[in-house]
Amino acid sequence: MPGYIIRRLFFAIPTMFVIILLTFLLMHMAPGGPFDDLVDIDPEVLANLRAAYNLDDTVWKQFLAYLGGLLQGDLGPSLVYREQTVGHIIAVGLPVSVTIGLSAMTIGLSIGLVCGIVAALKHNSVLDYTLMAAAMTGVAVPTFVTAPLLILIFGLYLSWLPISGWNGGQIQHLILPVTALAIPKIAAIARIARGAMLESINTDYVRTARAKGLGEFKVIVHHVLRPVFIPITSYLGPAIAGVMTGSVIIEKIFGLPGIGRAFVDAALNRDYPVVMGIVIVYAAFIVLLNLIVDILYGFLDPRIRQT
Amino acid sequence: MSATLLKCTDLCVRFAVKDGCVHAVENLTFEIHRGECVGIVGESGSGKTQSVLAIMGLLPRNGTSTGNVVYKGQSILNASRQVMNKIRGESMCMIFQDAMAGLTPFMQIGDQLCEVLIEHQGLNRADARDRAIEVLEIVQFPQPKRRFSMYPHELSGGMRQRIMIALALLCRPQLIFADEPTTALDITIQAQILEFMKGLQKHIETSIVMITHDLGVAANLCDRIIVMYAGRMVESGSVKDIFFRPQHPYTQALLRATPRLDADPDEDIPLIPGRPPNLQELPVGCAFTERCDQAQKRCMAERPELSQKFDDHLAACFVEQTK
Repeated sequence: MPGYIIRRLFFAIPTMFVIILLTFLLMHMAPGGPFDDLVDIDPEVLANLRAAYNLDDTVWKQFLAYLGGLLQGDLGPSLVYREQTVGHIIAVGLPVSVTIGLSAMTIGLSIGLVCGIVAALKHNSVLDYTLMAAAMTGVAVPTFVTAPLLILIFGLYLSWLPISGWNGGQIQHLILPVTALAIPKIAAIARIARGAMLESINTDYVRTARAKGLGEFKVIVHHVLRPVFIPITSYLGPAIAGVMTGSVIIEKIFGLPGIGRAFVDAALNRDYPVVMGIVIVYAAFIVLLNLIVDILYGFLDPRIRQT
Repeated sequence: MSATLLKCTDLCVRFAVKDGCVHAVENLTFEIHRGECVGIVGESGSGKTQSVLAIMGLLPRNGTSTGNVVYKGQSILNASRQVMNKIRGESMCMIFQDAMAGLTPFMQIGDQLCEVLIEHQGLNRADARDRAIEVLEIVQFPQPKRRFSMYPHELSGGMRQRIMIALALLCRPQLIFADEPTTALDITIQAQILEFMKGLQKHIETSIVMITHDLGVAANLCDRIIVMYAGRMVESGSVKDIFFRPQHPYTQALLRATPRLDADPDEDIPLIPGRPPNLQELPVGCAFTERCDQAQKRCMAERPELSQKFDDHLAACFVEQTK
């Protein structure tokens, strides 16, 4: 197993390299530059600025310079917020996004699993149809609709919760954005869990377990449930990487200083190093989570255990 | 014969499907005595397995069963889960056909065996393990101690089938339903396992219901044989009666279609022409009419009931056989 992990991490290096290269080229191919907003600027100052950040070099030269810095752990300076480094921006924004994202995922997983399993156990009942109709709605209604609705109801009409802001991560400020982010995750996980559960419960080995005279609870826990976690794990890997690197919509609507908002702002401003930095974080999460998912598969099903 | 263990009366099994209702088993009536071995033969889809699943209370969700099944004086058809769980796995067991799909793939075989003993006999883990290994030795499972914590996919087909048999034997049941326990295996393993089951039955006085489409297997192992066709019993009698004076044309055709070692190798095996009827639209008359070489006009219009042809020998056919 340790050998397998080291091998996988080793193969992640070329993957990361390609991601970095493509992002870098795409960003520099996009028209415009980081200083386009500075309209009334002296052309000489602009030239000096461009020179200071090596923007007049060829793209390849810039790329090699960036890669060099990266290998030393330096993500570079922000071109728009010139007093901040990219490392600093990520260090401030990432904890906010990770807190919101992981809370939403935890809630999504626990409620989604319970709903999916209950729906499958009560297959074709009113409860099943109700839960699945709700899940369908949850998947279909976008976050930019649910989030303002939540703000309207719980923030404005009922005045129970603050409508926006981070405020050092106080729990009241977390509830609405986490809920808004969790709703589609609950729905998606419930649907996956129900499908996997229905498939699992109709297998021959579950019939064997019933023929053994085991109680229904034991049958479900020991013989039905385990394979349900395989598609759930597959879904969770990329989904967790996604929510941890921030939901742009949620962070915009609730005014949260997360990394997702920083990413979109940076992309619009052509703040190349910030975009690069956040892409690298996201890619690293994906690589890491996919590795964890593959290791978990082995625990869930001995037939695909890694040697 | 000795006392009745299981009495099944008018068992009907139906499946609700999209465009109607499948009549898988119709008015099946039979008895199983203590210590005897009864074979249920018939081609695929004749209702052999479904009737047994109905008795065990293991029909899939869309299946319903009616009729009456009395097991050791207790009515068990459609009984509650609690009632059935006391019987299933302990005194009434089933050996399933497909040992690859029938064992939980992500659970060690030892655990799959032990859970039965823990559930029914309240043994602790260590005692359950000892007993399970003992039973694995009885079914001639090679090196049970070493393989105890293996997963099903790490075993060969024969070993998996032995696990399925061991599962059924753990609590010394009084009744075992064996659903084609050897069809998935090659012929040498098949012979070994059948030989073993024969010995076992003498040894622990279990009644065995052997579901098979192989008349050779049935002849080898069973005391009595029930022949099913299109969900109904068409003939039942002792092995001798069935083999030497079959009264139903279907049984006769089945016997002719059995390959024989002493047959002329140039001669074709006589097949039964046609195919079994659609269980959603059964004909009014005898279901075998279309394929029957002795069919009369009457067979199309009305269905023959089972009637006593000889002592303990029933057949459902209008045609009187000469011998």
